[in-house]
Amino acid sequence: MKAWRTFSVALIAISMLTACMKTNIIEEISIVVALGFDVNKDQTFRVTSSFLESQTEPKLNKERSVSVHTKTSQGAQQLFTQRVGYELAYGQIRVLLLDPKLFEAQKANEIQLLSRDPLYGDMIKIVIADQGAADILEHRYNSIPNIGTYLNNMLDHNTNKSWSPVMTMHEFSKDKSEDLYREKVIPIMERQGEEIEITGSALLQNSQIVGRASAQESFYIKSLRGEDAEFPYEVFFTKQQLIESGMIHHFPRNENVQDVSLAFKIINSKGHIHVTDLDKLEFKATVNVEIDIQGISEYYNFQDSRAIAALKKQLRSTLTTHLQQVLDKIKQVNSDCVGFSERYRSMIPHSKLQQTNWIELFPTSTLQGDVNIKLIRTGTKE
Amino acid sequence: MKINDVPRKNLQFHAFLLFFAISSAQIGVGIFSFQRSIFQACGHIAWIAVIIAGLIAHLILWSIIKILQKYESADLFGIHYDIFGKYAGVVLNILFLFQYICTIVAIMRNYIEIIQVWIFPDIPSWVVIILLSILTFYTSSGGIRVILGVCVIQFTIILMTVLLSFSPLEYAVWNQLLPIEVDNIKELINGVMRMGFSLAGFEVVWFLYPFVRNKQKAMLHAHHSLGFTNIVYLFLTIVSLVYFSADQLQEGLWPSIDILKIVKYTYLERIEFIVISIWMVVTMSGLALFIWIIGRGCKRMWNLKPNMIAIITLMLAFVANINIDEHVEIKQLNAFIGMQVIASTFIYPVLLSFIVMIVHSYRQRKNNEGGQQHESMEDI
Repeated sequence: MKAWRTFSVALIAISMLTACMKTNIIEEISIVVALGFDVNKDQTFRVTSSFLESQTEPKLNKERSVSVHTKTSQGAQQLFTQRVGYELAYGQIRVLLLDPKLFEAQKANEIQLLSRDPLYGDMIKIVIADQGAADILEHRYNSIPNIGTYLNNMLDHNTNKSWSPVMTMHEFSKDKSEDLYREKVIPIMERQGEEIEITGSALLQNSQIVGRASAQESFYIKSLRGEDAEFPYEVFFTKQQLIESGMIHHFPRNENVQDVSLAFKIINSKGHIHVTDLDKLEFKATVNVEIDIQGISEYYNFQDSRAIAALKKQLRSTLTTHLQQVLDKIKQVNSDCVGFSERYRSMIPHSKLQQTNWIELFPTSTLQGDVNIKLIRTGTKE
Repeated sequence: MKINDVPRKNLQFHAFLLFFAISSAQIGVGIFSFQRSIFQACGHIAWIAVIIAGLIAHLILWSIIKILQKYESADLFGIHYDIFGKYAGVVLNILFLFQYICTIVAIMRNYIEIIQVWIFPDIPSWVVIILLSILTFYTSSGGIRVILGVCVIQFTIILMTVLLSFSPLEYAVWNQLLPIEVDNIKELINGVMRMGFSLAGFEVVWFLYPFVRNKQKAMLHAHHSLGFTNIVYLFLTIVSLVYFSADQLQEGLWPSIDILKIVKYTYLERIEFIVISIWMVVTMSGLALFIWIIGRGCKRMWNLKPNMIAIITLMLAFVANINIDEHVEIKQLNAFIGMQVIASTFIYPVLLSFIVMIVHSYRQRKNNEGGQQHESMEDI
């Protein structure tokens, strides 16, 4: 009995270890790295895929882009299959590029549908291609060997602890209905000849692009969304500002100083939203920043603590103005991409607040910005 | 059938192994989807439902072990026989065995569905059932000590998977847990009941108790195990609530797998595919434990060979699973078993403890009266 049992177990183990449900030969698979969605005039999609072609013949191994016209995002997969020699693998998609017209045509929901397919990862990065997705993916670049992985790396370093807010498939799929959630903010990129640049962010309201934010504005939005953000900053102080802050007294080598420019890097930032008055919908948005001074156009006496206090006062005033401009902008375009609604809802018991109500309420709110500054260092020199 | 059953010394195990056995019976494929069900019932206060259900489970477990402590070394089969007599006891035992067969079918079918959706869309159900059945039979035929060994492996898999689930906290929106309010007590109760289905499994202590060598420590280790499961479920609930939006939680069939989709290392990503594959061991250890219970019941009642019973049970499960194709049918099966499990795991032990208390106090009084009569006769 024991011998029989050992034999049967060994037989099963051998057959299980040597058998294979499905064989995938990597050389016979083309890996899709980026997908682009454009909207045609007849409201159908033009889906462009950039993939690494299979490597059965090493010399022919190259990047390739294919565009198809389809009515649904899923339908594109079948059309791609009809146009390529090998099986296409979708599990390695890194970037989805979206045409701004996709939002105008209210077709953004099609992208959310992709998340039904388990092959699509939740961390796929989503970006708006200002001149269309096909424009970026189909262009043959001299200096970029693979556009899909290049875009992925580019988005990675601009979003990872940097200024650009992160927009992933998971984040994109978050708000689908009337449930209250912060609005989307999506990086925008465009091709300028042979170069590609991330120019800023698109501010959305209910899946419609209602405004745009520059890199600096995006930094504040990202901080207030609770994401780690760094930003290289440059500010100019007028003589009037120098007098008001008291900085004017700390330029020992130039008593008749006029305008001063200051370059610094925000090495750490953390945003908070406080509700100051629930009934009147008054919010205070605070961003705490830690900065590293990198350069100042005039010799400044950093050895004097009063000089540092004056500089911090002026910086706080300038940065608070910038933050306030951002808050005014998102209120004006009515895009609560920071999440004031979430903060408000979380403080009201039995709240039945929904997105449609909030679209009416948000423009009536009062948003007050404040930046707290911690001057961490002044580089290698005082 | 004997009421008390004292297994051979070499079959007994230390009470601390209950820690692995109970969590193994509780945590299976249900852990991938339980958040959705509770969220649908009571919204963002689902975590409160998880805590309440956990506390109730501790109370029930306490009552189960208290009943078992009234006997020298009995299991539920023996207790039924003692309290309800031969015929009613056997009927109740059969009902329990039937419930475990249904649970085996449900576990297998749910796991197969996950495999088919996530990894192999075109794999026939029978292939997975046969693979799972072979492994389960091999484990269960080794006896309780082999099963407990697999439970220890299962525990490490669960622990590592839970550790992986910390990653989504990077994207957490903690406001989603607020405000802490109970709008509707009915919804909360509904959430607690749904959580009950996920927590079920700790009742295996009914059947494992005679095998515990140091029975005085059984209570302690059983509660530790249940506490571990509660913490795992609470953690996953909170992670899901702060990571997903309401829509995502209501629509996603397996939130715990979706959570793993974002875990990424420089050398490895899409870890969910690995976890789903390894989860076969977790599923298998639970199945082996339930098959062992069925085999033990049949051996105790009719002196049948457990291995034969295991083969019959797996064949029944095979036939049942082959006939369940559609997702709607799987949902119906889960709902049916969910109600059964709530009744047998949460309601029945309370009822039984009252009955046992009454019967035992009646017997004690009768014994005392008998003793007094005997003494008065001696006086005369």
